[in-house]
Amino acid sequence: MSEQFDKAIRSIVIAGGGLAGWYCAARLCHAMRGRSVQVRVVHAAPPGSEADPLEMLCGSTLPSIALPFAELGLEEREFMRATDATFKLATEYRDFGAAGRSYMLPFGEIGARLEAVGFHQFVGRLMLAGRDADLDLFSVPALAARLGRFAHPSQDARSVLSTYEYAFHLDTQACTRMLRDFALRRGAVAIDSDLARVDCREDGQRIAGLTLADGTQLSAELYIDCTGSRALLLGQGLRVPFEDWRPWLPCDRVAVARVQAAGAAPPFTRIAALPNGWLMQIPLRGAIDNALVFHGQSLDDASALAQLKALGPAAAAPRVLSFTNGRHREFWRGNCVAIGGAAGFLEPLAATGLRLIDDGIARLVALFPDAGTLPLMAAEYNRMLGAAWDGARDFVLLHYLHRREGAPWKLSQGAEPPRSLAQRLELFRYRGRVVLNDEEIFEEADWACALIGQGERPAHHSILAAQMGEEEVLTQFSRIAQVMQSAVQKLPPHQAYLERYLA
Amino acid sequence: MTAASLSRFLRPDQCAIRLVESQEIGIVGVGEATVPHIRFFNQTLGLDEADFMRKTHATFKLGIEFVDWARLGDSYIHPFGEYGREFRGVKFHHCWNRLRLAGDPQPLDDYSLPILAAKRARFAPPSMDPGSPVAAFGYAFQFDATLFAPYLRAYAEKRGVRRTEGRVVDVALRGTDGFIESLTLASGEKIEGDLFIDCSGFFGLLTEKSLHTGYEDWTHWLPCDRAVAVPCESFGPLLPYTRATARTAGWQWRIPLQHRTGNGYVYSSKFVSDDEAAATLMKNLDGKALAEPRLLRFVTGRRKKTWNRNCVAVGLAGGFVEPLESTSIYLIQAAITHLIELFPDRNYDALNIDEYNRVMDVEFERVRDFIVLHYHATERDDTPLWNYVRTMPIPDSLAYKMELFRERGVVVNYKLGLFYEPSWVAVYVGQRVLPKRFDPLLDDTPLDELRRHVGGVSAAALAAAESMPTHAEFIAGYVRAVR
Repeated sequence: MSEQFDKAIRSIVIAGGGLAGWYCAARLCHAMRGRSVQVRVVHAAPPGSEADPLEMLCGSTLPSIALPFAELGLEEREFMRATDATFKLATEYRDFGAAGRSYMLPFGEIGARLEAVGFHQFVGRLMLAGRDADLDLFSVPALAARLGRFAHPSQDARSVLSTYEYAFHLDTQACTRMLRDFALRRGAVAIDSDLARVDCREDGQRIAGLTLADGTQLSAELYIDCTGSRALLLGQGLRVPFEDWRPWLPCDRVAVARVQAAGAAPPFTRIAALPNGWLMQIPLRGAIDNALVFHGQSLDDASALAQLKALGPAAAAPRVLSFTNGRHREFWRGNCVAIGGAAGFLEPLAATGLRLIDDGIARLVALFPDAGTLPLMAAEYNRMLGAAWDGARDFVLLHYLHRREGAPWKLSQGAEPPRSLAQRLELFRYRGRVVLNDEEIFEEADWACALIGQGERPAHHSILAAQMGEEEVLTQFSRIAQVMQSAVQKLPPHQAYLERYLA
Repeated sequence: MTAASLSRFLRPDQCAIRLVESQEIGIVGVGEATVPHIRFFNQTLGLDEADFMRKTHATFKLGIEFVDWARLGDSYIHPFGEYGREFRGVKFHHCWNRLRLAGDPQPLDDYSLPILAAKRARFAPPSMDPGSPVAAFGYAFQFDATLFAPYLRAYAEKRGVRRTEGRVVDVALRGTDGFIESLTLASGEKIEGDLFIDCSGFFGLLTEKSLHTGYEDWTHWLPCDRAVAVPCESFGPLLPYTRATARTAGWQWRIPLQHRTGNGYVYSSKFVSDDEAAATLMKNLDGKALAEPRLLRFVTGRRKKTWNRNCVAVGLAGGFVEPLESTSIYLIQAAITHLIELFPDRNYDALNIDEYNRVMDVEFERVRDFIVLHYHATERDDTPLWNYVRTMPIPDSLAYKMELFRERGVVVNYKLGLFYEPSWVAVYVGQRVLPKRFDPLLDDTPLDELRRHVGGVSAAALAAAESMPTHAEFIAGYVRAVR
């Protein structure tokens, strides 16, 4: 056992002081309270720039973010105030299938369990009978989002208002500052110097040390690469290969601008498909972050910026950034773990940005190594995170398969989808079955909702959904919709709730 | 179980269900132990728990005790429930392991409420309040399978299942594609059907004898191939757990029911004769034997396709893993659940069948790995069987899981399949697969602080266990079974 003390990791260098870097620092300092360890964060970006500018696309989140924030002891009101946050109940997808159609991907149950089979099976049955069911009518968060209403979910499990969760829209730069302050209070050390060189051991399996722009030599027992898509340690240093997902997900540029909010903040993220990409609108308190993700070969930057400008005067100079969808084949090699943009990039169509950072950190904490267990922990880490990333990719890619007009959509449809997605599609199209894999971020209801929203229709339905007469199904459906509708009517407007809550 | 489930979910005017059974062929179950999933099965059918327990002479089950597995003299319980609370985000078993490596002797069992209750022969159902100290555990049942079958028969018949008494003497296949067309009974009656479910046991009357589906033999990992079973009179307090005691060439089960105790010796015929096995069993009973010992033969493994053409093999016809972790009924339940979800139409699309076989393969393999762990993780070399399993090659999937636990106490989790983290922890630790290292997040935590934390857990668990009524008292009040 004393041998383990000798091998203990006592120094960690996080390269990159962006959202991923400071989130990582905050969580590691917290997880290691009562443990002697040095956590240093190297800014790792040229002066005046961010470690990973693409992180500003992480502002729309998933409900899983609430727990780690709570564990850090960040009180909800406080961090919402600090990050100009609003509540998020759903994401709206417009024009991803048939033109003019939109659907919500809500955070909560859809419908109610009528038999030992998912609600979507009954929806499938009605669709086969020629009736189109609008799933939004059977979800409290989707209904509330449409009406611009919000309240915290009820604690009473019998109430229909307990059937949802919520996430946040937040200002990622403010969030980074908040996490930075937290980490510094907990003993992390900030080093404000650019990273000049990464030294690797001869076998290419480990980082030997970092050299900073001011000549300082830095070495540590564990390196965390949060340098964004440059992946200075894992990619450029250790040369871990990058799996390029552009054949499936061809968009490669994003124009971003913050505009002043004109009215009340909606409690959902708007996403609309456009001929050359898609537009995301994240409502913050008093502002909206607009991001136009596009295919650089079919839309030039000036046109993209012009499209953004039409949405309102920008509060600061709009920017265009480039990215490559894909991930590194390993996220952890030797003594180096990549988290965030350095691990990979997935366009934020399904709000997975912060979640993948979060999973990366949580797994690292759970598998925290010493010098004797590095390779074994890395193997398990790579297995779990690889599956999480690939599952998220499939979910995003699903949204590319139905729109008819526009270059990126057609390009994506021309490529053979990954086997994992092909299998899911095949089984859903056959009879509405949702296949879930280990380490999956999205659940059955998410997949069913996205598949139906995108216009997928099962050719058959489960026999279980046929055990009730069609009239009875319709009666049950209208009863559920009514109960939900009347419950949602009683919720306060989101903006008013927000003002009162954060006052 | 299949007939009852299908009758619950399929409308009689849409699907007629017939069941053929012969009284000449007995039921294999000899007192079944289950895992907590059985409660979900019962709830889905809408069975009243007390009524079910009364009619099947059932007892509650909080876990399984393993005696003499890793070493002679060892004993541990695999409980249906979690160990204590985490400490600063670090899971409880890491805290325990940290103290163990520092020399603290307290066994992991002391931190589990279901274990402490089981050892005291006490039982009370878990609290519905998640904050309560008596919340984080589950329970299953031990019941008489020969009584459960008629219980379900009554349920199924009430819902329109037609039962026919008779022995199948011929199975007719369609010339075009080899699908099953009809069964002919000894009486001469011919029974036609669209879908056939083979519940004929090891024999595989339809899937193997007629369709020649093929069988994947796992005997090289799980060499036991026979069992001898006998009921005996109850003795001592009514215990809320099953016991599995390692023997020279296998292991012996003891399943306490309300009115008697089920016993059996699962063994490898390579390492012991039938007579010797029966003698060992009869010598190791708590009370007077109530019948002559019965011999059962099996081959551990799985049908190559548990769904082949228009025939789904459920239960022992689909595959057999010895009842060491009471998984037989779980695997029946899984087969039924997946069948209902993927219930076919007369096209029998390959897509549907392949998906069914994929998920059932995962179910079987994950159970298999868990059972193999019990045998392989032993230090025993005192008999040829134990020396064989100790040194045999194991599936790669299991070797990987064991390495992660042995090196650092990490449990590999999964979404699909039985047995989650607490189960794996219980069996690793019980089988002496002890982590060489502790979680580094605890290396600077003062040991006394950790001791206070785990001490609080064991005190709370102990107090909760002591506050429970005895298992016998609880059952008497709950079930009031007619003895």
